[in-house]
Order: sequence, then C-alpha cells, then structure tokens
Amino acid sequence: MLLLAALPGCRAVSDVAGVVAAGVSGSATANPAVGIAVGIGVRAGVDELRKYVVRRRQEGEQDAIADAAGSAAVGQRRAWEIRHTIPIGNERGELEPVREWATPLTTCREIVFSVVDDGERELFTTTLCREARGWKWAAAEPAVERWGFLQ
Amino acid sequence: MYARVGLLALLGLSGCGSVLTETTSTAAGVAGAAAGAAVTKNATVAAAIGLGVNSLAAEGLRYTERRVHKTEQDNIARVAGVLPVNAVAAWSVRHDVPIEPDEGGYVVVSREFGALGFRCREIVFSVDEQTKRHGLVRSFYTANICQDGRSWRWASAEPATSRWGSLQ
Repeated sequence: MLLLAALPGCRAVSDVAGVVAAGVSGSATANPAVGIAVGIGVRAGVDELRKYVVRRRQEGEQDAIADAAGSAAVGQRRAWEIRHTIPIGNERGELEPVREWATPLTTCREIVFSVVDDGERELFTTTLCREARGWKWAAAEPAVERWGFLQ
Repeated sequence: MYARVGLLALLGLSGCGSVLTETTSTAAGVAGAAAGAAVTKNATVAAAIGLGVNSLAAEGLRYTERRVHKTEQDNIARVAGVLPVNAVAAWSVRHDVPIEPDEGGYVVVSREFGALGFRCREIVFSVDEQTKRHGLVRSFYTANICQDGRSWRWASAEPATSRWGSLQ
C-alpha cells in the first residue's frame, strides 16, 4: 500500500481501500449505512495518508534543491540530488542561483534548476527564502483562478 | 439528518480536507441514491443517480475551498498593493467558514515591474505560526500581484504540469 501510495497520480488507492473496507464491514453488519460510514472513514484516512506521504517526499526533494542552492553563490552552478528511502522518484540535476534580493523581512533567491531523467533535461525556475531553519522553497500557491486543475 | 450534523461537526475541524471531501460527497451520494431508489427499483440506476450527486457535491465543496482561499490571497494583495517598495506591513485573515485556519504575518514589496497597460509587484510574505514546541515559526513565501483595474490581485500562475504531478 505504501509503495502504491508513493506513485504519483495514483488516485485509485483510496477508492479501492474504501470499497474493500465497505465490503468487509458490510459482511459484518447487515446495515449498509454502517458499511458506508466505515468505508468513508477508511477512504478519508487512506486518502490523507497518501497525500501526506506524497507531500513529504515532494518536500524532501524541495529541501534537497533548497539546501544545494543555499550553499551556492549567485552565478555558481552545482549539482543536486535526492535519494528516497523507498527508491522511487529519485531525482537529480543541476541548479544555479540567478538573483538574490534582501528585504526587511528576509533574503530570497531566484534559482534555475534542471531535472535530468533518462538523459532528458527539463529546466525550471523557483524562489527560495531564508528561514530560521535554513533555505526553504518559497514559491507561493498560484492564484485561485489559475489552480482549477490542481486539486 | 445525521449526515448534516456530521458535516457541521466536521466543518469545525480545519485541515482535514479528505474527511470533508469524502463526507460531503458521500453523504450527498447516499441521499441521492435513496431519492433515486424512491423513483426506480433498479439498484444500478439508483446508484448512478447517487454517483452524479456525489460529484456535484464534491464540486460544491471545492468551490467553497477556493472561495475561502481567495479571501486570503485578496487580503495579502490588498495590503501589499498600497505599500511603498521595501516597506513592511502586517496582514491577517479570519475565515467565516472554518475550513482553513485563520492566518497572519507580514508582507513586504520587494520589486515593482510592469509595462504599458499593467503594473505588477513582487512580494515576500510571512505566515507566522505560534507553536508549542518551537515558539514562533515564521515561514516565508514569494508571489506576484498585479493591479487589475483598481484592485490588486494574486498573479502567480500555476506550476508547470510536469512539476505538479505528485501534488494532486
């Protein structure tokens, strides 16, 4: 289940768990409403767990990039890499801070990074800001009008 | 009845979107299936009606979530819109529907850019959280806002599709 949950875009996991749980509790009680209620609980639980696992892994990758980019000087290129405990979705590439700006709140950086996958290279940009616990991914969520397909 | 009481109780819990999504849509689905069963004896047809209602309810909840979050973005944009570059101001939001926590922090305008016909700003804002273990935890984020007529609105676009795959 954990392995399944780690696969990006695997939305069926919680549905399958919900149906299985509803079936199991349905056989223990004749009341279908009780079966459905148990199903909802399990579904929501598995859904939340899947989201949690996937987010933690993505946060791990963002932290790896932010750490690497924080230790490089502006204009200096260096490599980054993430290795997960469950070896799915290991990624690597290069990055370069291209701009740094100081504000009265904190210092932020704009970086360009690449993700190399099977010899194919994709380029992305993002922002990082310095927090008490180090450099962190700082790109805020898109405007609500633009995130329709994200949820 | 139970579904409504349950929903109201769940609404009090913030941050557990999955329970809310599952319950809203399934409760509506069960009610829909029951209504469907009243007009047809065919279980498959009743279930299909239930599924239709189910996805409609999920859509309704998503609409509410979006509206609630838009309030927060509008709030930060409004505060940052009237600030001079490099000046700091506090922002905060209180939600009427408690599906997101009330939040607050500081915002600073770090850059202004634009061209003929539009005016945009780069902002850095903090979300301040008082935690029991670590005291005040301050997280920083960056975003862009643009002036749309008279009001300032959130202008950051969505991430590249190849980067959001695992976040849905």
